[in-house]
Amino acid sequence: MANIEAAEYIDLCFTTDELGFRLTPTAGEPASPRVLVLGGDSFTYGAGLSDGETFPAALAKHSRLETFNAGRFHLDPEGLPEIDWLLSRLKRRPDIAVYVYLEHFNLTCAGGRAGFVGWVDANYPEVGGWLRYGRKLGTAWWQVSPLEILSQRAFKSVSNDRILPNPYKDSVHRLRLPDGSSLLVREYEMRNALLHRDQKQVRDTAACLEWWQDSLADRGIEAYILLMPSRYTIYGPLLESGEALERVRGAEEYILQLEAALRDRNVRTVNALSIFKPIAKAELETGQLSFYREDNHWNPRGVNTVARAVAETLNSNRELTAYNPRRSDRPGTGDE
Amino acid sequence: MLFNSAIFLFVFLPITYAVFWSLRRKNSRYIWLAITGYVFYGYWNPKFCLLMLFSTLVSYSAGLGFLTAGEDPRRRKLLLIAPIAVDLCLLGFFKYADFTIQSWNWLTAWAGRPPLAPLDILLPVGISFYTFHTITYIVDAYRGHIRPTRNFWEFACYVSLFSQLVAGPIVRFRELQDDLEGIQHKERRVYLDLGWSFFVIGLVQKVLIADTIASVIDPALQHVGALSSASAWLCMLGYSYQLYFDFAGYSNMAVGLGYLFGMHIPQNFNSPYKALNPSDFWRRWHISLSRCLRDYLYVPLGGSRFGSLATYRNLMITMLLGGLWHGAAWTFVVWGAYHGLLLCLYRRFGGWWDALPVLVQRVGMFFLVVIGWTMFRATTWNDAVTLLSKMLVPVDAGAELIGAGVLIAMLLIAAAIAHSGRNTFEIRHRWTPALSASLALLLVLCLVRIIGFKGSPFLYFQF
Repeated sequence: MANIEAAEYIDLCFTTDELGFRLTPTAGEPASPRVLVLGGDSFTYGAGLSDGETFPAALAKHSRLETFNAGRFHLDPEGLPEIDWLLSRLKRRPDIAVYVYLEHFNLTCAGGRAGFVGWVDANYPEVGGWLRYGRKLGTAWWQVSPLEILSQRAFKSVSNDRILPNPYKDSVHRLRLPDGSSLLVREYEMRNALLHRDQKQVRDTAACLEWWQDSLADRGIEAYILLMPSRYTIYGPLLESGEALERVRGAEEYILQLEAALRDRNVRTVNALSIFKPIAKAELETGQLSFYREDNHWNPRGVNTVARAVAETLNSNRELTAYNPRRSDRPGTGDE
Repeated sequence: MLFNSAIFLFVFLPITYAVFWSLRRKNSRYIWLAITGYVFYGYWNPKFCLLMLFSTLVSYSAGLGFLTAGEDPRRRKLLLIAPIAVDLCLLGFFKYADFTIQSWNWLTAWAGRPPLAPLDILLPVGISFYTFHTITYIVDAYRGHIRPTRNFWEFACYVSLFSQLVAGPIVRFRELQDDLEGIQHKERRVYLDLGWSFFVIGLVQKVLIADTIASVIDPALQHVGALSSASAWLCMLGYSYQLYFDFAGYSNMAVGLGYLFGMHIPQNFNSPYKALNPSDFWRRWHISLSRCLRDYLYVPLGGSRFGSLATYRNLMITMLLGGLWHGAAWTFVVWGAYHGLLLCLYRRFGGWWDALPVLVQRVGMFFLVVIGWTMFRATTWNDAVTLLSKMLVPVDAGAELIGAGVLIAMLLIAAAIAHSGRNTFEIRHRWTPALSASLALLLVLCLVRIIGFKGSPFLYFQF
C-alpha cells in the first residue's frame, strides 16, 4: 500500500513446481506426501514467506510428515475435482488433509455445481480440473508480466497522497500499537466485525466444512479443519474501543460458535483463535506479532505457532504416524 | 468487458478482428459479429443476454411484419406500438421500478403510509442504448425510412454490435444499413488505419485524461462538505472535462472499432465546449441522443410548429425525459429540466445572447454547462446543493485537495484540447513516423495505466 509509514520489505525464496504448486522442502518424495494442505488461499500458498517458512513446510517440520501445499485450489465444491485431479498425479494418496478455513470466507456447498459444469465435475473430474487450470493459465499470464509489475510500481509510487490521492486510503483501517507503530487492516479482514454473521451462517458454514470432511473421507483421507481468524479478530479486542470493540467481539464469537458447531458434527477442528488469543497481549507489548503489520498475512512466527499446534493434534493420533497396511502405495486413483 | 481492459485489448479484440477478416461471406460476418457481441455483453452477466435476445426477436419480428403488412394502417399501428411498448416496459422495469418505488415512498411518507419494499433490481448494462436501437428501427420502418431486413443475423449483428452496444453512440439502422449490406467487400480494409487511429486517440482521451482527472476528484467529491470554494470549482471543472473525455473517448473508440470492421459509426461529439449557446451545445454533445430525442420525441410532439408556448412545452418534455433517460434519479430529471429551461430561455432571448462577443458566449455557455454538471455528478440532493453553494458562495476553509497540482496540469491540457483543439473528426489521421511514434508511446502509457492503476468504467455505462 502506498504512503505507508514504515515499509516491511522481505527477501524470500518462492519456488513452484511445473504445475504451479508451491514447493515444500521435504526430506521425502515430494509426490508422496502424507499430508495435503488445502484451502487458505495465500495463507497456505505462502504469501510473504519463503519456501521453508510456509505453513505446509512448518507443519512438515513439526509433525515429521511429508506435506504437500495445495493452497491454490478453490474452497467451494469446485475445488473437489481439482483435488481429484491432483490425487491422480501423486504417487501415493495422502492420509491426512488439513483444510484451512479463513474467517472471511463465504462457503456455499450444495454437493457441487449444477448444470453442465456440475455434470462434467461429477463424471469427468479430470477434464473439469484441466479446464480450470487452463482458464487460470490463460488469464493469469499478464498478471506476472513485466508490464504488470512496472505498472503496479508506477501506480504505487505516484498514488502517495502527495502527487495523486491514495485510492486505498479509505479502505484501510489503522490500529495504533503500544510501540507506536500501526497495524493496517483491510476491509475484508474486518468483514465479520462489520457484517454480523447470524446462526444460519454458522450452521451453513459448518455444514459445508462437514461436507468437505466427508468428501475427503470418501477418498480415504482424514480431514482436519483449521479455523484461521484474521489479525483484526485476534488483536482488535485489545486495540479497539467503543462500538468497534463490540463489533470485533462479534467476529470472535463467530469463530467460537463455528468451532462448537463443527465439534457437534464430529468434525476434527483446530481453532487458531484459541492458539493466538492467549499470546496476543504479550505480542502487542513486545512488538513481536504473529502477523505482518502492513499485510494481512501471518509471518514465520505465526506460522510456526499454528503449525506446532496442528502437528500436535495430528501426532496425537498414533495410528496415522505408524505404517498403515490399508494405505495404498498405488497412485491415488480412488480405488482402495 | 471494458474497451480499456486487458482482456478486451489482448484477447477479445484480436480474436474478433482476425476471425472477422478471415471470413469471406456476408452472413458469416453477421453471425460472427452477433456472437461476439453476445460474448462481449455476457461478460458482465450472461443472463442479460437473454433480455437483449428477446428485444432483438421482438423488433425483428415486427420488422418482418411491416414487410407483409402493406398499407394496412391498423396493422402498421399495431406493429409500431407493440414492440415499442415491450421495449419501454423492459426499460421501465429494469431501470425505473425501484426509482418509482422510492419516489412513491417519499411521497406517501408524509401521509404516514408504510413504505413499499424495493425490488433491488440489477440494471442490465446498456439497456438504455440497445432498446433505443430497436425502437428507432421500428419507428423508421413504420415511417418508411428503412426497408426492414429479412436477414435475422444482419439485424442481430446491428443490435449486438459490441462497438456501440453498452454506451452508444445510438446508431440507427439506416445509418449502418449500407455498411452492413456491403460488409463482405474487400475495400473496407482501407478504413483499418483510420480505425486504429480513432481507437488509440479515444483510449488516450479516456485513460490518460479522463481517468487521471477522476483519480483526483473522485476521492474529493466523496466528501463534498469538506471542500473549499476553490476545490469545489477545481473538482467540477475536472468533472466537466472528465465526463467529456470519458464519453468522447469511448465514442471515438466505438467509431474506431466500427472502422476496423468496415462500418461508419457516426460522430457523437463535435467539440461541445466550443458551443456558443444551448441549442449549439445540444447539436454538439451526445449527438446521437439529441437526434433521437429530436426525431422521435420533440418533432412528434409538435416541435416548434405550434407557437411559442407549445414549443417551450415540447422542449421541456423532451429534456425532462432526456434527463430521466440518463438515470433513475431526480437529480438527472432536474438536470434535464435545467437544460430545457436554458433552451427555452435561449429561444426567447437568443437575439440578445447572440449579440454578445463570441468569447463571452463560449465562456458563458461553458459556465452554464459546468453548473448543470453539479446535478449530474451529485449522488444526493444534499451533495448537489452543497456543491453549488460552495461554487457560488466563496468559502475559504476546506480540506486539502490532494493531487491539485496534477489536476491543474490536466485541466490545462484538457481545456486546450476541448476549447481550441480540433476534434477527432476534424484531424486528418495521417500520421508521420514521428507522430506515429508519439501515438505508440501514448498507447504504452495507456497500457501502463490500465494495468497498474485502479481503473474506472466508462461513466455512460451507468446509463
